Amino acid sequence: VKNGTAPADEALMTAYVAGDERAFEELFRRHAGPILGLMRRGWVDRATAEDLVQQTFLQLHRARHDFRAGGAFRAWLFTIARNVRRDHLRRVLRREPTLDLEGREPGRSDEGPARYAAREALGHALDRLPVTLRRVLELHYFEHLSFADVAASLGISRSAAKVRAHRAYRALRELLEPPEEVQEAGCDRGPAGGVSEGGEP
Amino acid sequence: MTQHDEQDRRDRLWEGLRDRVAGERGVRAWLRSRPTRARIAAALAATALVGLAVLLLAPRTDFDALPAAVYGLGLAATLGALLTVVVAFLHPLQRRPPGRGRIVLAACVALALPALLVLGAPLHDAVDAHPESFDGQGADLVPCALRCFAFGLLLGAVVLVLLRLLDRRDALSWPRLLLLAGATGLVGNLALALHCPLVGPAHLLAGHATVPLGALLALAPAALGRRQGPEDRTT
Repeated sequence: VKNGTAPADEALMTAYVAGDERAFEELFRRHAGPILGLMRRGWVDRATAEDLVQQTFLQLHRARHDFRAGGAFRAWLFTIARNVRRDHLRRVLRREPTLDLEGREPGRSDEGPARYAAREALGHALDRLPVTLRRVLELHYFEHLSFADVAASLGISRSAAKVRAHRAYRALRELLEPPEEVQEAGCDRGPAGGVSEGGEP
Repeated sequence: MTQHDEQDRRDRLWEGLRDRVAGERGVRAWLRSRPTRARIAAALAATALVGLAVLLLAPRTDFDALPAAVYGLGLAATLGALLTVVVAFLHPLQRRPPGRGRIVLAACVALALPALLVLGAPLHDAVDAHPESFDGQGADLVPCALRCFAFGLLLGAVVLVLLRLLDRRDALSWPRLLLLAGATGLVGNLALALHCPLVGPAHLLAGHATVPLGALLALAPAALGRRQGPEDRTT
């Protein structure tokens, strides 16, 4: 039981596997928003992102008998979502060679130039991180997974996930800010800001 | 966008999803929703049934003359490669996927394995004299090769259809198409290894090793059509 009264995701998923369709709807209500956020990363338009959310839950439906009681539902669902998103971006990339790896068209954005430039800088910095650190950042910061879920998703211990996240945030901060600004700012949160003690993003 | 609008969009999203899930009916929906281990087992069981049917209805006539080591090596390599491509093809989306390069490599090995076995573990060098072993040469080469090609492709297609029914993804990307063609060719060659007594390298290359390539050519329009289509559905 989560938050005193609401059933945990895992209990809802177990109920759905047993045939309770309301449990599926509740899982959708809980997780559609964060998954939509994941899908919209990198200039994917809203309609496409919504379609990808539906595809994610459709794949959850098809894979429901693979879910093991006791498994971490959120990490399980987000792995499906990431794979659905990656497949979509690959298709976009194959069809539109001018798009970059995130499916966006350079110079065409509905965001302001400063925000666009910041995103560009963040994207370049992420690309320069070692893949093991980048994966932890993607899961923890962008997909809002807890350290327990990050650890489950990557097949490592919770403490290893925290250590990697700490290194990743530090490396990202160093890549994004000139050395003198790091000393002056001492920022404490954000993509380059570090890890909360509670382990939640 | 107001909170009310956002809620409306979320409700419409749910209704659309509910319709899509409601459309998941029939044999394919049932098969693709089986646990992954069961799906893999079903594909392997279908392969075993194909082999059994060949052994019962049209077995090769020269089993006694076959060198056990070379013949067994060929069967084991084929089965091992088949297991690899089936596992890769039915890989569930809730697990981290194997690298694209590894998938393509596995598929290419599967596609080329029948030819590699002819060249690397030649039965014709090891086989004892048997009246039928070296038929299908000269003028008979093309007709015999075509018969075996059709036989292998037909039996391989049984597993191809089942694999697509077990597949949870709607679209077929190029790497997965290669895996599917590889699996089809391996099942076809397995059936031919249990059926065809000819061991001449020309026949094996022309009639057996071409089965995976035939499967690839047969499947390619599906991938090309998808590429030119208006929209891809699901991964």
